[in-house]
Amino acid sequence: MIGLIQKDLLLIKRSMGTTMLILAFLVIVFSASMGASAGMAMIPIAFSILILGTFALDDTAKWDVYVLCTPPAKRRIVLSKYLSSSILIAIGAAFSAIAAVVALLIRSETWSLEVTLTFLASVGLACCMNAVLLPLTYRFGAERSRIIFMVLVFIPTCLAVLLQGQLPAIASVDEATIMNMLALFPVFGILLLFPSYFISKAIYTHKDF
Amino acid sequence: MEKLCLEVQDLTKHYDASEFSLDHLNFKVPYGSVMGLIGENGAGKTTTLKLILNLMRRDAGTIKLFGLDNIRDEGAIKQQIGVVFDENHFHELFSPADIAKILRSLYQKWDDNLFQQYLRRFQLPADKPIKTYSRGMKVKLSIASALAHHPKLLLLDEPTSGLDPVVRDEILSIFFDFIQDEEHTILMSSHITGDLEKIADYVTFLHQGRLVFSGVKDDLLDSHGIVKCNASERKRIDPKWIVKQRTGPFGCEILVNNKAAVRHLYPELLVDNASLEEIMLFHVKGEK
Repeated sequence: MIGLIQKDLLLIKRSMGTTMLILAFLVIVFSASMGASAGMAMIPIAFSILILGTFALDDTAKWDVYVLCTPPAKRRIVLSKYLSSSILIAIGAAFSAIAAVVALLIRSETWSLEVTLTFLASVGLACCMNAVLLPLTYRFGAERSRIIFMVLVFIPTCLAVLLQGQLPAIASVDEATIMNMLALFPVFGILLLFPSYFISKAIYTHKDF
Repeated sequence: MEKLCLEVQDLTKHYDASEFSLDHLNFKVPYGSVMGLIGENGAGKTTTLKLILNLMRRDAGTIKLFGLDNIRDEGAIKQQIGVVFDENHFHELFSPADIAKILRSLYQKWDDNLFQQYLRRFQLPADKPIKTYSRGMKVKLSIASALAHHPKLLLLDEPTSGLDPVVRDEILSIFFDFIQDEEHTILMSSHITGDLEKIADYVTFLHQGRLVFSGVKDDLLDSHGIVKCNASERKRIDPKWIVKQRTGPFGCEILVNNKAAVRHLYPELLVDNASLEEIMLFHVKGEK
């Protein structure tokens, strides 16, 4: 299974390494001018989406046909994708923290609660996105899953904007509750990956190649 | 009784979309032998291989490799199998060194030295990405990867398809070396019957998802022949010898299943030997 994780990370390094360096540079510049929170929030999410690139490259090579002829069982092949995605999010989180520190140093600011909550929220969001995207990708393929995901995010967002002010007022949540929710968001995201894995495993196991 | 490396019984798979069915396929591959799986495009050769490898779910039947069930003991079986397809399935960004890194952790018996030996023998640069390789080089890399973990069984799905005769000959000699050890077995699907005539001990012939013949290749070639005659001579031949026939403007060609008997009973008729390709063509394009 380690070989499969190495495969994904090597693919990303070979195909997207330069792009990520440019992205990292832009994020640091963006953070330095707009604030640490603005740039750092993007990084774990950008890293989490990289796993979709490995699905697309696997489809191009028809890699699944080959890897299913090797000893690892289907469940381990799926598990290796989830572990690769988790490693990418962890790397993204590390880069995010580094980018925030660099931006704060440039702006002569200190690490604040806002930066911490932004960091935790972005990591949580990255985990939640992959928890939804990975089963969609196993079911529909890399290209269609991106479109489906955008539709799933786009439609409720549009509806919320259009119906703003027309819906009955929801009881307001106090600041402390919001802060607790943001702090626990990564935990929620990680927990969501477990049922996501079982759904992906079921989809992959029942596929014909 | 011969020990069996692969045993397929009543294997059935139906595709709803195309109405194609692999229909109760039965064949056996003894240890130390080469089984050629032949048939026209769409006959069911690749489907058979994919079912053996559990890449697809079968509708009925059983498959045993090394005496083990191909689903229940899948992991143990796949440690002992090497697979080569007609097209490359490695990412083109990878080099052979990258592939070794990946496969090393997947196979318990992965042998880096052996892999390097094969790379040198096939003159494959270890550090160049696969996208720079020719088609023949990609097939050789697949073979090197398949052989480097000391498999007992090679499953080959049209490995020489699209290759020039020189490379095909080179690849066949690699397979020939592999089976010198009586413990090694090959199941090779191909529509290039000339390759199988050179290397195969047994042949399984599929046509439209059905088994036409499975047995010793030499028995098939020794028994079948082609009679060239006119229409009146054709009527004299006992139908029990006739497999299929083709009628042209200049006469009939008839595939017979016992050329020795036909030669004896009808000495005036010309009975030629039939190649695997001709036997296949008669089954596919001939009339009953």
